[in-house]
Amino acid sequence: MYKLQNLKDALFSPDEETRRLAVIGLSEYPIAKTKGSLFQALGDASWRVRKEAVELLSRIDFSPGMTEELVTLLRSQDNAGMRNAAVEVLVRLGEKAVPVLHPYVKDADHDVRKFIIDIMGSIGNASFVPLLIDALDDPDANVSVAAVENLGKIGDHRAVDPLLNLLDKPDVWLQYAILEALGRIAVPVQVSAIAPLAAHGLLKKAAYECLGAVGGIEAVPILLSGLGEKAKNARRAAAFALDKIRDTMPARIAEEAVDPGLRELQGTPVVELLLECLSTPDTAVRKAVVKILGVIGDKRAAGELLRGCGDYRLRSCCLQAFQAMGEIITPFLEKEYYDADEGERCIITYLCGEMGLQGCTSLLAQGMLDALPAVRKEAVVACGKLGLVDFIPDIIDLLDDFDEDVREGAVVALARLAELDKKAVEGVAEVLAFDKDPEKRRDAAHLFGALKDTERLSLLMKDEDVTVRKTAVGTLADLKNKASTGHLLMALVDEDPEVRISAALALGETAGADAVDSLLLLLKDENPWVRCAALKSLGKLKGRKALHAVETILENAEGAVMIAAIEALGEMGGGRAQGLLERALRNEDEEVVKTAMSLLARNGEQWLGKYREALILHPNWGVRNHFVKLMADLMGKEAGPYLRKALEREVDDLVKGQIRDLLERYE
Amino acid sequence: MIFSAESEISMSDEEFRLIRDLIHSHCGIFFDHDTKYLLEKRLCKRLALLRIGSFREYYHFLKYNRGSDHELSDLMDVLTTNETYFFRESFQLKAFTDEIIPEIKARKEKIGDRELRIWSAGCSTGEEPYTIAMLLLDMQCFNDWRIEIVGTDISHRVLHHARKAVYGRSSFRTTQSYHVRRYFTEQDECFRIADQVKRLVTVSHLNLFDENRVVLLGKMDVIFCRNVIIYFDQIAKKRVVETFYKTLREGGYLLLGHAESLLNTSTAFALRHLKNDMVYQRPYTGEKSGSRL
Repeated sequence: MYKLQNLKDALFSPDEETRRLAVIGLSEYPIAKTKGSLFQALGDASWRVRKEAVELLSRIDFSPGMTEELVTLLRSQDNAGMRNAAVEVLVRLGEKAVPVLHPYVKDADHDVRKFIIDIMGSIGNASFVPLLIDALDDPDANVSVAAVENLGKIGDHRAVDPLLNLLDKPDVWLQYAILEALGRIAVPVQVSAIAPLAAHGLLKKAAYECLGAVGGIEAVPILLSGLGEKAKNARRAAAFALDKIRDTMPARIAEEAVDPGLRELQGTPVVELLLECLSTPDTAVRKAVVKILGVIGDKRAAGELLRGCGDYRLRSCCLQAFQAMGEIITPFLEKEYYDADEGERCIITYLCGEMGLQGCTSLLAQGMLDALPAVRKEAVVACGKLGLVDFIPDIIDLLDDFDEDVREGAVVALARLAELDKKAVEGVAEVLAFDKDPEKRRDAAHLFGALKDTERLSLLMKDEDVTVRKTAVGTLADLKNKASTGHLLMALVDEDPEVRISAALALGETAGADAVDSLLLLLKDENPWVRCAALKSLGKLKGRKALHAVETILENAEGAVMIAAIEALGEMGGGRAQGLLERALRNEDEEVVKTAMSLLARNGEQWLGKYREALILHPNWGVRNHFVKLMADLMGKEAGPYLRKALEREVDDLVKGQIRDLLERYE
Repeated sequence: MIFSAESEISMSDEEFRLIRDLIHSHCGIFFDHDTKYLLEKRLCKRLALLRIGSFREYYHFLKYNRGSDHELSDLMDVLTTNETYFFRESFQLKAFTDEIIPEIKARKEKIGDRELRIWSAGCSTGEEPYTIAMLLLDMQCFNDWRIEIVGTDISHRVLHHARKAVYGRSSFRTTQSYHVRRYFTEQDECFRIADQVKRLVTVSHLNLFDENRVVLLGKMDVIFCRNVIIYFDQIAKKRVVETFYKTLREGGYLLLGHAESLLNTSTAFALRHLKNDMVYQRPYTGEKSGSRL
């Protein structure tokens, strides 16, 4: 007791660290003896002490009486730190605080009412919704707006009609909050209820955002005209909302209902206004604007799109936008290349190859001599894509580039050109095959692969370097030539597991029943990944012997080998395999269960009913996620009631999102 | 800007979460959903190298492979960005040389302790620990002291660079010519760091989640951990900051990046408002009981 009193006294020490340690010390005593001191610490002048008290109190099992006492701290007029700390503890109490909070939404003190409403929103319990709907009529404006905001935060659809009813109230602040809340709830709403507010200067942004969340095809004309708004933030909101609605539509509908309206903006001042919108740090908005610019297809956007490629988050959207613009950008790229920075030169050369821009050959010749390796690499790869056989001597030079990526790019380019100039590429490959550097011999293997020269590849399979052997086997496998079976069987005894894996996989693609015996022997390989490769191929080659071997393996297998064995069973099919797959649904390893589900789904939906309940309630989120997706794929619209039931019971956000998407798809 | 073409294999949300969670439990680095594209693009290179055809298979490779520590290490090389340079965040370094070091030195001299130990956690290619060494050499008041600067990182690739200690021009964007002349020798358009600097620095591989190995580093007087914990989620941050607390001597300093703070992460450190910067300090507790650490 003496020590407890010391700790309580220490809370009055002028030293912050002493007070913080005192709070930690109080955790060793029953709450009944420390409650007053801990509540006092919630109002300490130091944030470190307050935070420590919040942490400690959040771990305690609060009685309703104690929660009531905590609520009274919200009345502390002169200590904002204490009020905020009390709010934090109440929010962290979560569901436990729910019954105590209910009556305080009608407290006489408007500050307390507002705090309570904010806490309710943060806890997000559905029982708060009717109370918050009542609070929409609170005489205090701060409180009613807080009720609107927190109804949005909870996201319950029961709030939609009461919020829409309030929209007529001529209070801009309240209307703004309602638009935001409706957007967060995101339940479809009649566009006519929101549209008039888009005419109000202060509400434009919120109205467009709301339309993006609650509107459908009928919101498109309003949002298209919103792209020309004077205020940048309203324009951005319109672009974001339009892109969001366009994204949710099937591609055919978007092409009919949205894209013509966007293409009409080509050559208009709206394009410049949209380009201005890119100067925001908000990546989601920038992405939306880029996508819209791509559909519009105006050359003026090319510069900004090129710069946008510099940001990895925007790159894919910018590249798609360029693709949508097509050959009209060739003059722009040619002009821009010579003043562009290193990164932009990479992108330009990449685009030339990807878009097949035949007019850019001089630019690519320059690119292959660029000081930056990444540019040389993109340029040489583009030469291959464009089929520029005249550049073969320049490409061969790059096989000796000091940069590994450039050398690799040169091989890729030559492989692409093999069909167009077989003789030239053959000549290069033959020289490389005898190089003393293993990397060059690996390159030779790739080129012989492109030339479909199995004889030369089989020689490289006997190379002294393991990486060359592995590449040769892999390349031979890619050719899927049955005549190579003998070579591949020999590679099964290679001392390197990587070579054995490549050979085993290749046999599954190319060989016939004659390879089964060798693959069965490989099931005893010391390396589990070799065993996996053998199982995969056995699954493809099928047969009674193979099925029996897989069944035997299943007895003791686990992890990757178990999964490979199940996959082999799935490939083999038949009633026996079906039973074994169903047994695997009860496996402890979630990856095994997911694999078994996918394989069972290939043969139809008859297994769903038997295992539905167990799989919807499976402890692993990944299994649940996988199951609901398969169920929807197999049953289509019929899955609706089961999906809704699963949604009610689901706790994981990713799975919930997946179920909602699936329900949307079929409704 | 480094450009690379688009990923050829796409990653589903489920695969993203599985791989993300696996990386997180390995080292605390957390990828939020916005970075899925980045993760997908960078991992594609690993898939191609391993001849793996899908992210699901790659996840299995990490989950079931006994040698996955090696793959996770290679993965870290691909995922972590390591751009840094000498004498970065000069105001903080001024606080270090003008305020923190004199205070620690005076305190140690009083008790006859002549050892100074500094940890650069997440040292990347080594510019930070070598900067610290140069600053201490500049001070010319540690002649009879035992100075040890330990630089650690999770990526083997950057540590190789740090050990080689040869730097290109981009590492010198804020370095005065005086330092270049005094502590570097030019070599094929690059600069090799002088042995007197290198002697003070030890570079080592370390996962900040590996508490046992951190203990082996021993107690520190100052920890630099700049722009590292931004990649961690809240739980991982708490865990790593607690490790730092345990590793620091009482009165020792923790220097984070200028955009980083311990608000909502830890109350264990006191915030010191120095003239040149705000820094965190492990408070003196002396014999006081009640410390949970």
